[in-house]
Amino acid sequence: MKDNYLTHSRGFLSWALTLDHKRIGLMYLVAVLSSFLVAGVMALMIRAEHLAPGAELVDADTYNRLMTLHGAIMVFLFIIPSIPGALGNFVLPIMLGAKDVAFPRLNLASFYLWIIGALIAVGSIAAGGVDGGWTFYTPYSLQDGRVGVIGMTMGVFILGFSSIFTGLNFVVTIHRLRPPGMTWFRMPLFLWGIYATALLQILATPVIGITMLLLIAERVLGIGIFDPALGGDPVLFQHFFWFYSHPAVYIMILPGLAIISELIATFSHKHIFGYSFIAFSSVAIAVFSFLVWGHHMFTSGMSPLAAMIFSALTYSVSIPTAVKIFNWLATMYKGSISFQTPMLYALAFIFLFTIGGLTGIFLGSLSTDVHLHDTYFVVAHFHYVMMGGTVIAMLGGLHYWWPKMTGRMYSEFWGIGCLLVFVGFNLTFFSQFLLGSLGMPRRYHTYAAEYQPIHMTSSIGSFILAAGLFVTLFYLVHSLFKGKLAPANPWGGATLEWHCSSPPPHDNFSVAPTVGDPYDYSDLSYDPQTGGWISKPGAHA
Amino acid sequence: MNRLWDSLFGSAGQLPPKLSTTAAEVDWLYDYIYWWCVFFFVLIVAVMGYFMWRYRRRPGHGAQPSPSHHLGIELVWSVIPTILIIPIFYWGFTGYMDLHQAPADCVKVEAEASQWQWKFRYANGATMGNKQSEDSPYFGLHVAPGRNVQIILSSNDVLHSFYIPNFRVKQDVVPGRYTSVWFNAPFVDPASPDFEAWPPGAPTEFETKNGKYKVNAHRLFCTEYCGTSHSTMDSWVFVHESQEKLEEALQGGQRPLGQGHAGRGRRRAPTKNCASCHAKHSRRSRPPCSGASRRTGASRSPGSRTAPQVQVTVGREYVLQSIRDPGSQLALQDLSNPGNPWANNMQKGLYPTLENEVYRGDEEKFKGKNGLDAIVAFIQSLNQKRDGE
Amino acid sequence: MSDDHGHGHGDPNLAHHWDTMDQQVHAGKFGMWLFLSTEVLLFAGLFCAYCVYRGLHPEVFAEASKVLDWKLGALNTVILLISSFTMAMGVRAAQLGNRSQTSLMLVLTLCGAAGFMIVKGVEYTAKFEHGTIWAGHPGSVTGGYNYVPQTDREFAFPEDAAAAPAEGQEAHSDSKVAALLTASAEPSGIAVPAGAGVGLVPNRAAAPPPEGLAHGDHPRVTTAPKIQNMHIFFGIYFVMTGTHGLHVIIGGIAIVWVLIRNMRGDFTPKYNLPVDLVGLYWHLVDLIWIFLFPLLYLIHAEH
Repeated sequence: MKDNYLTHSRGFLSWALTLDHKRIGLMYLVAVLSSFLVAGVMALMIRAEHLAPGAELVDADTYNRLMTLHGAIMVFLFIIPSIPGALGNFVLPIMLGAKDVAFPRLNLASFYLWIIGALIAVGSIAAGGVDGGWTFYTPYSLQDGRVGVIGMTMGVFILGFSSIFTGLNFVVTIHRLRPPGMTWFRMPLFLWGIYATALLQILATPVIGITMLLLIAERVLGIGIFDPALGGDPVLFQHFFWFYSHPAVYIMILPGLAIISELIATFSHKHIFGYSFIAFSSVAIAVFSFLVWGHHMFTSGMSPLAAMIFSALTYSVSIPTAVKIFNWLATMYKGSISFQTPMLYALAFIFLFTIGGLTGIFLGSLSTDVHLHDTYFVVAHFHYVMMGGTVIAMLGGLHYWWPKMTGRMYSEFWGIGCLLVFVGFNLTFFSQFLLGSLGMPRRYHTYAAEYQPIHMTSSIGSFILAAGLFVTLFYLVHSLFKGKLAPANPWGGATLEWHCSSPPPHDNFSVAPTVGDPYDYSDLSYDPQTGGWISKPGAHA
Repeated sequence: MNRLWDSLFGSAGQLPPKLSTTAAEVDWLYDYIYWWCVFFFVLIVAVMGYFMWRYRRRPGHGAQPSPSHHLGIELVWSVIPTILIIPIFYWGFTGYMDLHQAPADCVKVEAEASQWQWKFRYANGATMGNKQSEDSPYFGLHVAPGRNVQIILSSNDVLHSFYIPNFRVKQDVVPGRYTSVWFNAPFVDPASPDFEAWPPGAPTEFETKNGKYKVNAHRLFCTEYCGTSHSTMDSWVFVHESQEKLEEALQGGQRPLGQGHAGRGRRRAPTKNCASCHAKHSRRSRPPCSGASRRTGASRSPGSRTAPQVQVTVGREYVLQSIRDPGSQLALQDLSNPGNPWANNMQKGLYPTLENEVYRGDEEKFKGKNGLDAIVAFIQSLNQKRDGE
Repeated sequence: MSDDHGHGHGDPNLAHHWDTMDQQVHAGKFGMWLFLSTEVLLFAGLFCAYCVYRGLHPEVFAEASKVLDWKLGALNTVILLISSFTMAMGVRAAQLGNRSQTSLMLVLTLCGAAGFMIVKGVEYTAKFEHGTIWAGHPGSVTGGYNYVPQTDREFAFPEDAAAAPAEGQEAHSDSKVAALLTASAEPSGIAVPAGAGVGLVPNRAAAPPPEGLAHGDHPRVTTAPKIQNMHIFFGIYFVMTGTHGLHVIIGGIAIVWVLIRNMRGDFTPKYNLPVDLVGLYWHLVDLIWIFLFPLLYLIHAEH
């Protein structure tokens, strides 16, 4: 194997102190997937507990801490940094044709802030754990004996800085490091998605920062801003919290949508349909997402006028999202569709995300939301969007760029694990829609007997889902050692990262690459000898 | 199985039966949204499936040229969903207003939430807990059929949420403010063929010492996370056959006065500035005033700085006297200890007293079950809980 | 560092992934502006909290603000403005390559930062002595135990009054108490409809200011203060000025850092980006104070 970023230098410090965006991306990947594993095991314990209505496996306090940690780790340690931190860091500069991100040191700092934040947040378990859900609603989080809340909120504060640094880096990189020829409208859609995400990371995260600081000040000093006993307003906390956490939902999903645009185009071997609509819809979603936080609070005692405005604005976000789905279908039209694993994930994404998006309409509509709010319907909805959307897209992206990152091909046969994930996921979460519409409240340790059959279905589904994910983990790790060497362009992608070798060399590009249309597949042909796609002779100089 | 089949067809199987007057409107909108969702979902998946099959990569088949954008079609599929959304928003909003604006003629019941119980207080002063207990068989929220009932919600500690799935109503209970929710539930004889119950096997009778009474029972949940026993902070709503039957059933069911008393005192106490320290969730220091324990302390007699050590029972009288003359019941060494924050406040004369506060001269008015007694009962009740922790 | 991101361009300050110094400097400034936008949004959260509570308790803010000494606030404003000027001069000197003048200006700016913190310290000390601080502090005299949840005394059951005499009597005495507590001639004026999103409704029937509080920073509280809930203002005051003070300290540390680098001779007329960036940060810290000063000190100032 010729010199590449993995073999360029050796030793622990060459990784720990690296400024190479590719190595930082890889370290992020290991870190976020470890969090996914930890929080996923917690989810399995939760589902196992719900096999029967009573308290079987764990007691109430343990359950509440599990449920809280599952949410907090998944949101703050896994989903938010997952695609930008891992795949974004690795792919973005190469796709752009740059040698690195704009501020490599800041990039490394962002990773270490993640580590510190994660240690403090998870370390709060040692201080007695945190319950109350990942939303930390006051005044519950201010009550005596919950010291863990301080650690967790401090951790979230630090993770916020990590997220800001990543976003800031990406925005400056995209603005300032585009090589000649890479105009805004020649950028692959993945970059548009990451760009919109980065804007959200910069503009929304400071608000969660100040909210967490105020919460800590309230908890430690009693400043009286959120504590009703001191004249504070607990609903103000909810406004502050959701002002960040709703845009955060789009920090999670926009990169997912962006990956799918790449996958659908590449595996349909077809120019993406409606490039500018998709690009602008990412930015539109980012803008609208700041105006809809109140839809988390329709039953909080907010004024009906505010509720009405938030409901109307909420629908405005749904339109650009719908547009993307129609555009993907139109991309497949008259294509040449291959069903390799990344494409399976992309198709699963369309199926699941459509369900997740459509069920959002029930929750955006005021009168139906009153019934469904804080029930399992909401749990199912956001799992369809977050897991069925972001996680599935991330898995798709991971398979797509796996040969590029590792230089190895995984076994396409075992890619069939995707089907296990798909079936298990639907069994787990579709049943939860039914639970919720029948009135089962969320965050319940024990539940009424009439919900048991559906809970059981959901739990069995979750075990299938876990099995699928473990199969995936297994064959991916296996491929690191036994996988075939990957060609430069195994899928026939036309974006710049496929122009450099797999894995890429240390400096990405020795000479600035020629930038063309990122979705023009006409000059690519399959070369059975290398198992990859090459430019037709004469197409490129 | 039947229900599973029904659940393919919208609200009939997916939602509990419509058991209040406002439920039908919510369910109608639910169905409206549901069928549009089914339409779009089937459309998208069918198109996707067809393209997957039709354009699968195979020998002799490559991608065919087609336009990579088409403004007209893109506008069409942006505008059509926008138009479809408007009525959904409108009906959602009007339905919400109907749930939100209680009619003027409501019967009012107070529901007071605390970790982890509901306390229902009726207009006649009777109170009931959310669960059956040894000291009282009376529990739950009892309402007459066909009446507009408004529940006034308040919280003693943290956020809770009041949810009755069968009525499609939900409202957060926020400490420091009042919120409310209203409904109007019919009564259907459990023996009649029209009778629908959710959950299946919900109680159809409520037994008191006056006999067994037919009821329609509906589950009531807390849906805002509130701590360890959040999941057991539930209860039942009992809709009785008629107003008369309701009154007859609950005749003599009023719980000992202390309970309702303490609740009344709670509403009153903040106006006398007590609750900010004495409330259970307050982290502020406050003098001992538990009704349960005995504490060592010196009673301070006027003019004497060397009071003898005596055992003081921290009981009702202790609390009452402390309200009349703050510090009178406290040990002198406590008061003179500068490190004692509440003693520090005490010396600044910051506790309201009967002498210097608004109710000077009105003391008689504040006696009895509506006044000072209620505050005393309230403080005792809170501190029993807190000191017991 | 084992990573050999080589500098093939000759200038040791130019990182390998940039083509020209110009490009790198522009990117650095752009990044700083983005970072400043996050700082603005961080304070925006605090300003929102300020607006919400001022909207809910206008009379508390008007009265409690008088406890603050506007003269000290004005002094601090002047100090920060001057330090912003010296900072700008420092950046200019660095661009011209005048090392000693840069150092002098940075030192002067540091003096401004220190002066600001000293004045702030004087103000804080006075607040702690008089107990005009946030609610949860044990020494607070305006503190939480005076908090009156106003909905509690505005709430009654008029409909039930007719049905149940006992409740009716209570409702009556409730409103009576409310009238006495607020010293208002029209107790009915403060009633709010039940359930209409009732919150911390402002008590617009404000009581007259306590005599002791009218004279600057020296409240003389002998009995329970007649202005209720002053601690709400002080909670906001301490959070906002505290967070700002923290930024002044961070800015000071950053200035020390560029001062050391300047004395070491790191900067040239071509490369002085760090001085520029710290300057931008310092101007932002100054700007935030320009907003804090009138919002906190100059409410209803009739002096």
